[in-house]
Amino acid sequence: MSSEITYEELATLIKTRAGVAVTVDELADPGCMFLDLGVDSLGVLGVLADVENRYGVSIDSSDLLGRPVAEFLQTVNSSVKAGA
Amino acid sequence: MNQRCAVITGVGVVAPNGIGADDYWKALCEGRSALGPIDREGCENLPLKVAGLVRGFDAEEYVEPRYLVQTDRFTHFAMAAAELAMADADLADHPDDPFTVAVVTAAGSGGGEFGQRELQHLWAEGPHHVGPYQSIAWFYAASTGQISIRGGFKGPCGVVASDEAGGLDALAHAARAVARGTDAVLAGAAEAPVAPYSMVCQLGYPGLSTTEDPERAYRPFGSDAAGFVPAEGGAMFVVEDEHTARLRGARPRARIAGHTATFTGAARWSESREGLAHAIRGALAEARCAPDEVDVVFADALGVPEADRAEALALADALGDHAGRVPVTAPKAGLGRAHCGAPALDVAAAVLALEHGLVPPTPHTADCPHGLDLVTGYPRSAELRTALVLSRGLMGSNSALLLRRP
Repeated sequence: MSSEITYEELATLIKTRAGVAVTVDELADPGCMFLDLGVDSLGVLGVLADVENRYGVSIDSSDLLGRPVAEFLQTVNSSVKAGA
Repeated sequence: MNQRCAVITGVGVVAPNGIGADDYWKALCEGRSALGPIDREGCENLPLKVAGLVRGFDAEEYVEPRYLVQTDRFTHFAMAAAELAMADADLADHPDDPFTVAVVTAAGSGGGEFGQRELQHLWAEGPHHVGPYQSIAWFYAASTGQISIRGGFKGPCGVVASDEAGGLDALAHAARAVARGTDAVLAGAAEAPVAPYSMVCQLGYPGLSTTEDPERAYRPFGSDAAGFVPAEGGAMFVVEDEHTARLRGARPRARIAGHTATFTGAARWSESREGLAHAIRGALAEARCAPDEVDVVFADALGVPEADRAEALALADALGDHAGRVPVTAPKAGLGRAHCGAPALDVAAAVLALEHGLVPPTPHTADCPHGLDLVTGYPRSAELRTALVLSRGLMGSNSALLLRRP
């Protein structure tokens, strides 16, 4: 299992957990916010729970929900790496 | 100030015998039964064998993926029915002034299928595996919430939790919102209570029919009535101020003329006579309608002999001799009872009956020993100006709604 979540994997997670189809380009745009994509806070929590369950890590969500997708992924990946 | 009058301009139906008002009406007039064995996974070994299932419903056809993952089947039905009603009324999604449109739904069972799935995750894998949408999907209010979020409707939204009869009370609530100044309300009810968990919850109802033959399971008012069978589905309506509706070119299809709700206690069927009679009198009084002006009755028709007798007596109490002459029908005998969705489906049938001058028959039942002119076998032509729709809940609510042809 890779210890880095890619934008492709995140797009798949968002599709399955939040029901929103997004492209990798959209996600990688530094200014992209979840709300702009139509992913609400519960959708982000669903994505996060999936990552936590898969990698056996615990991620502090309070700091993440309002941040751009790129920052979200960076933080999630450093937690995953630290936990791996 | 002019009196604002609430009219129904759009009808959206998701029923076991048809999706969309046209298919539903055609099936009703043919007296076609949609009752059948419950062939859903996990339901095989339960004592309840027959229900009205909505088949061939593709939620993706009506509901965007983002709402699909967040919501239970009962909300999928409500959202689909709301879409159909809005299309019927030609009411725009995302109105210019979002505060002019509201949403009111009723629900009894909430999101049983979704809830069961998440509880299974909880049991098998732990709390971390319960999805966050469980927090909203099970909730009775989910349908109102998701329909209003999707359409951006910010008028005085509400949820009626008043037992099965809530399906009628939601329309009364909508009519009152219109009277107070809201231009349009999406109102109605839909349920999906045929998942294993939801079914187990229903098994305690003494009136539930455990008959295995779909032909015999639900025969309301019949001498061989053996209880009721559950169903899924429901109906949503666009309820508008008549003047506003006419200004925008919409066609009023029925006026919501009167309504009253009462409560007489769970399973106290003999007492429901008094409660239902009071509700009928109240609805007639509000509509300034004389008893002999009622042209058709869509009965609650529980199929429990004591309850059927109480309903017939309530009609006699409220309508006098006219109770024996007015055509009475219970198309739900061919559908089952979709809890709060059942009276909403009856309202859809009543609106269509007023338009077509046709009373759809009561399937399955052949005789009626209660002194009512029950329409059976074939639809009956009649000059219909007013329709009385009745509903009783298993927990003791009674409700009567009077519709008038505009």
